[in-house]
Amino acid sequence: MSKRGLGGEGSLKVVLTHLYGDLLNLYADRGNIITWQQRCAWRGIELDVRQVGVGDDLDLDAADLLFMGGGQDGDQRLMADDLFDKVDALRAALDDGLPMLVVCGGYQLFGHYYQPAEGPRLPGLGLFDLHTVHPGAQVPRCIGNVVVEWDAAPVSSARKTLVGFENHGGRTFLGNGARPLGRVLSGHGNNSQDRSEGAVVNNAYGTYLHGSLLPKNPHLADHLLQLALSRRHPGATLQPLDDTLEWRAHEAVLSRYGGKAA
Amino acid sequence: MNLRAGLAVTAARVAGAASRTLGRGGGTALPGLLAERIDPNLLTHLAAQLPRGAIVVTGTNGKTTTSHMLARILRCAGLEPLRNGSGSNLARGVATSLAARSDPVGRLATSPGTVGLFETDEAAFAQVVPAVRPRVVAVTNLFRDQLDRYGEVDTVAAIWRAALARIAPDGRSSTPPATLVLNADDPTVAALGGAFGAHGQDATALYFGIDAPTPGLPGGVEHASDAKTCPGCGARLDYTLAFYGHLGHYSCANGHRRPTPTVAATRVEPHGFDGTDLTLRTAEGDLTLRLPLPGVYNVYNALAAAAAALAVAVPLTAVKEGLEGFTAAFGRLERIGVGDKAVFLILAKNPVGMNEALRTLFGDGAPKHVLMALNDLDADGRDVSWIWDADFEHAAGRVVSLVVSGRRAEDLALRLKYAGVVDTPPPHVPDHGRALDAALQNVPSGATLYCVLTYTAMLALRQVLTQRGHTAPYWDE
Repeated sequence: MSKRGLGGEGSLKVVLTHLYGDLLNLYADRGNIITWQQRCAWRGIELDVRQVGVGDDLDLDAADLLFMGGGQDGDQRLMADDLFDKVDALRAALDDGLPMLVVCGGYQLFGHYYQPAEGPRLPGLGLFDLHTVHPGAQVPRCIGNVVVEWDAAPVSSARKTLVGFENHGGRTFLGNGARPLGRVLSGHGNNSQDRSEGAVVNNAYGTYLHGSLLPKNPHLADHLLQLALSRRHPGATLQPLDDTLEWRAHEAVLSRYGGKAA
Repeated sequence: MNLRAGLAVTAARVAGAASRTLGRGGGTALPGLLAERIDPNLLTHLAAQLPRGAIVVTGTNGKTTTSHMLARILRCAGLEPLRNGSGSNLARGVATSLAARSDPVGRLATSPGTVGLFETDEAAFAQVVPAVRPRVVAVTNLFRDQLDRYGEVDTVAAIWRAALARIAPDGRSSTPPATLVLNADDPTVAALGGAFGAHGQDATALYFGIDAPTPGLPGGVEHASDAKTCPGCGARLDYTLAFYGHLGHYSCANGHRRPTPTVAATRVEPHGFDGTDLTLRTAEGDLTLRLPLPGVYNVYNALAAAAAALAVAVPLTAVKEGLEGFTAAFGRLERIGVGDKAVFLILAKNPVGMNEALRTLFGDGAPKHVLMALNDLDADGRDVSWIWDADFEHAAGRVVSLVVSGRRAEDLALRLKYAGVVDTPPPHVPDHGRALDAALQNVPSGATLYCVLTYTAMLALRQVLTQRGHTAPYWDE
């Protein structure tokens, strides 16, 4: 691969904290990390990925970006207790504007609670003003390709759509303290009722989209990367990359699934 | 005599013949569907007539290859396996295979050596096992595959446990308990035999696994591993050796550990695409053989087939003869001559399978001509995100020429870009036949084109090759 975008940016660095990367890797969440890694490498930016697992201290003072994915129920149980030990650090970082991306199971855990079809509510971290309800095994899961109109897409962005794949049983409902990431054009999104998808609180993004999310949505990948870069290097801007293949893959989903109802 | 069963059998046979005559594939599923409608107990009724009972094979990867290997071994032992072939591994496919051998009053035509050999997919297992009440249930492994269809790995394991519980002896039945032939190196599969005391099955478990350190992965458990927690207690699993995905030697802090396999590969010597030299340790003695297939995953398939064969008292000589004479199940790994060039078809349908395919393909470091095709039809899994869990980085710097094809070729091209395999957009030919032509143009005389394909892409490409006279239609096999 050629070294595009070198020069002018000197020794720029971004520190990415990856929460429970060894446990929460069910739906190709690694694709998001690979995307950030390569998009940094092609610009000569060093991306320092720090894995934080069960029992590890979570020190977000040095972090510029945080990522957490989704996992199997068993694996999520293994880390849920541990996550509550880290909630203070997460809340402080959220208030401080740390860019975060949390997907699927991670997204649900950031809310107030998860109400299973049977049994008591499982408390969440309460970082996002939202809750999730599982309607019962007789109600089909939300599975399929999704196209979303990104509400706050950067003005400079070439596209206003986000594409991905969803696979979740729980339905998520936002409170007033969270705004949706976007409006569902095709697929289910948060709850297949109000056409909302995902949530944004400060610089933290929660979403059901995997597939993976960032490879086919380079505008979102770069938006979060720019937020991260600006924390450590105020005034530094990302150089544009050749995103021909990224947009081709994005367009392919739009043309096949973009016009259809859920 | 059973008139309802007879009517169902007749309907199935007529529909099967019609479907074959019309050229709609192998005629494998529709007849069974019809028969099922007419007599829901048909499968139980017919399977009960098998003189030597039945063997059921399931698992995420390798069930078709394992079944083919086992069929060959059984034939070498003078038995007559009655199979559901051609990748038709749903409950209906099993019913169809039995109906095709039955008369109009529902009597199954058998000889003293007839033994049922049924391959079922992860979901159909729950219907097939209680209906057939097999003597042997062999489980190859459990990986994530088509999350949108089968659900998560834990969900599949729970369905399997429930199905096995339905055939557990209850003290009243005269049927002997089934032998579970289980992969000791896969924690979720090993747990089905009560290896961790968690589930208390009464069935006899016969474990197989790899006891040779040679093929271990240098970096430990791969990214695509699916079993991270102990099935016995939920604690984290630690690995001393990892061979393929989450298959390896594992234990947890509470003392749960991999069961010692009765059928074990104690020597594994890979020789690329020429095959693998093996020494197997069994209760009947050691066995040394050359398996004519590459890859650690095929070592596991051979172990599963050998263990299942030994569970029905097949002699070691037949195991050796069957495995050494094996040719791969269609499309799984198949070399087809096209003029003075060769086309190698490799099925890769999930992250772990893709990793094994890539490692086998690029492990020797020699550059290759490659065609890759990714589809997102139901049989492939509609979610293509799994390609981001597979290590396409193995291919970086080792691809001479590349063509991408299939409904999601754009996703594949993007994955290859981020893996450092391509810098500029690779030629993208959606149609599988034209993609083959384009890819073959890059291949010099005497050289090989390696095709890495998802399930429906493999079927489509094989059909193109068949239409051009390069292979026989698969249902004639």
